[in-house]
Amino acid sequence: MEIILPDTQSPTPVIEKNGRTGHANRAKVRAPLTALVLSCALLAMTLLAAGAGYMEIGVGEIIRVLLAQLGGRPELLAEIDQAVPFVLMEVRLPRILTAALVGAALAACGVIFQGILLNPLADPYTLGVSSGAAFGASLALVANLALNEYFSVPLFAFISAVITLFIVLRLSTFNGRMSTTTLILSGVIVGAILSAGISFLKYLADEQVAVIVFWLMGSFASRDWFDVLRVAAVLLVSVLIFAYYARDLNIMSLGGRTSDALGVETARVRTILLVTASLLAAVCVSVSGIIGFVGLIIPHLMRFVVGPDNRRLLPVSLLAGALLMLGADTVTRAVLPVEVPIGVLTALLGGPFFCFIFRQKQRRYRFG
Amino acid sequence: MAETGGFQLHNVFFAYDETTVLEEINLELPPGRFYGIVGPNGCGKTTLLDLLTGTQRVRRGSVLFQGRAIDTYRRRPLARQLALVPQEYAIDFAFTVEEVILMGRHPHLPRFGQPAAADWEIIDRVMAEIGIDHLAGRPVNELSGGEKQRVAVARALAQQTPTLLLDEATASLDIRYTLNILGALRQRVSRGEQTVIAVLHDLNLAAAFCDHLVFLNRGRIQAAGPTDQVLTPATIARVFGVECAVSHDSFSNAARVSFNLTAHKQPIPAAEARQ
Repeated sequence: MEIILPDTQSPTPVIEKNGRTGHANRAKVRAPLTALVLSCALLAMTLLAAGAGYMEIGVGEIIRVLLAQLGGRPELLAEIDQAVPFVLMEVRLPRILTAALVGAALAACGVIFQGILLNPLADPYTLGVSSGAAFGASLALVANLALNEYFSVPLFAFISAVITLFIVLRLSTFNGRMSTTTLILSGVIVGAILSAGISFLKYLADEQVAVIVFWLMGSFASRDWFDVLRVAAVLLVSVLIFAYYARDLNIMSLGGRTSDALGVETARVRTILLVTASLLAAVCVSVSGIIGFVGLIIPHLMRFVVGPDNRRLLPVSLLAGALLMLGADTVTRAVLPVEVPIGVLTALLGGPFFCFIFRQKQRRYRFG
Repeated sequence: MAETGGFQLHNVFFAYDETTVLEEINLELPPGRFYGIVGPNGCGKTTLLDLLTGTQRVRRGSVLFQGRAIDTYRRRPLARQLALVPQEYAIDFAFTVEEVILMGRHPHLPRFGQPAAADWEIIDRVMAEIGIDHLAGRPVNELSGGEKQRVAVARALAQQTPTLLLDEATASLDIRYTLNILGALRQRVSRGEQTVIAVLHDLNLAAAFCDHLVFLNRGRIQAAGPTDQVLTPATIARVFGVECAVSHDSFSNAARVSFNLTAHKQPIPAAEARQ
């Protein structure tokens, strides 16, 4: 990884013959290359994760099972233990795909929130959206609203996240204009209130407190194909919307007045992107609980590699987010002796890394 | 088309909640001139520009641009007519100078289109005009305030609009770059390429570069018209509360405002300082 430090030695950059400068060109070449490397790594990680665990499954077996199931050739299963297809198709694959999709989704949310809040250190949690979703889900768990085990928790998480977003946006809008500073402050205030609410729910929960606590720490255990489809569908639609507005988002980093004057419908684009990213974050929380730092660190890291242009940042962040989350989940599931909640793992790994980036950023400001 | 071109403001009133910012603004700004908007801090200059770009909407009255109410324009077509250089901008992302200036081409490019050779030519030309070609590959968040401001001017020029609005765009520049930028804009106006409406801080710069001046104070227009007619000691005293003389300076061949320094040694009364 390359950390770009302020160049105090040579103020003049290298200018290539055609007049286009090295910096922008390098990022353009680097983006497809990074995407290719990440795609290969993700594929390898998927095979590795599918094979690793209590029951070791070889790569050959995995491929044969997949061909048999997806290609409709049951004769390939002849020499394989009958448990293998079940473990693979009903246990591991849904979990693997959910982890990868949630990782990609959280990274995409990070790209969008950082772009809108004009702050490379912002993430889905800054807006209080994740706290909102967590509060709704805890409420459903405590009230034991088992209307339908698939729908009550996600539905409450989702509704609560949307209400939270609405309150945060309402709090930060004055005279029809929304400032990013007040947006972050409003998110922190509402998030703090919701955290207190969650603590109170835990206090009320008695014997169910373990369920809430485990869920708040995040986990991909016992995910099924319904979870995969749910995240995949919302992610697909969100990514299309993000891609559509990627250039507008670039321009919005110059500030609202300038982007207005450059022909961007700033207020409308900001609302559309905020709502979409919040819904995506809420779906992630409802599926896997709270998993922090992925949405913050992946876009930040990828910005070092491919630059700040959201049209390049978004695709590589999706891939890197999927890779990181799948890697972390595989470590906690198959490598560690005890399954550590993934939210704890990402915080333990991501927290120090975040501190490092934060210091780096401070240093840049001091020089700048 | 002179009657319908440019801006026409009729009886404009604007307020944030209870605070009146602008009232009874009646103004005609036909195209082809270099306009200067001057006035003390907090008199509503930036808000006036916000109304001209359609970022804010009038509470009462109307702002017409080329004969049409400004808020009936969609932003994209409007961005091909009007460009803005804001007072200052904070950018935390490491876009290169070249990428930022390329954003000026946004209203001209299809949503998923790539910039053509012609767009790159325009970018190279404005970078040379403003004298920032050596910064092309530098991350914009590492530039000094003055360099950033010149990038913003180049970006607005790359937009290639008939009208350019500047909000104290030269406030953080030293005198050499200030003269360089205002001189470049003056040339464009004189060649009939562009109309410039600039909020300026420095009365002597306003006197040297602007065809027309608009004096604003406490949300009202105090005087507006050709520079040689409205730039008088009486107007400046009324608007800024300072004592001065206006003379012709043969070296710059422009009007010069010189101030009575001894008359302003006493502290500004609290009631006025709050304004």
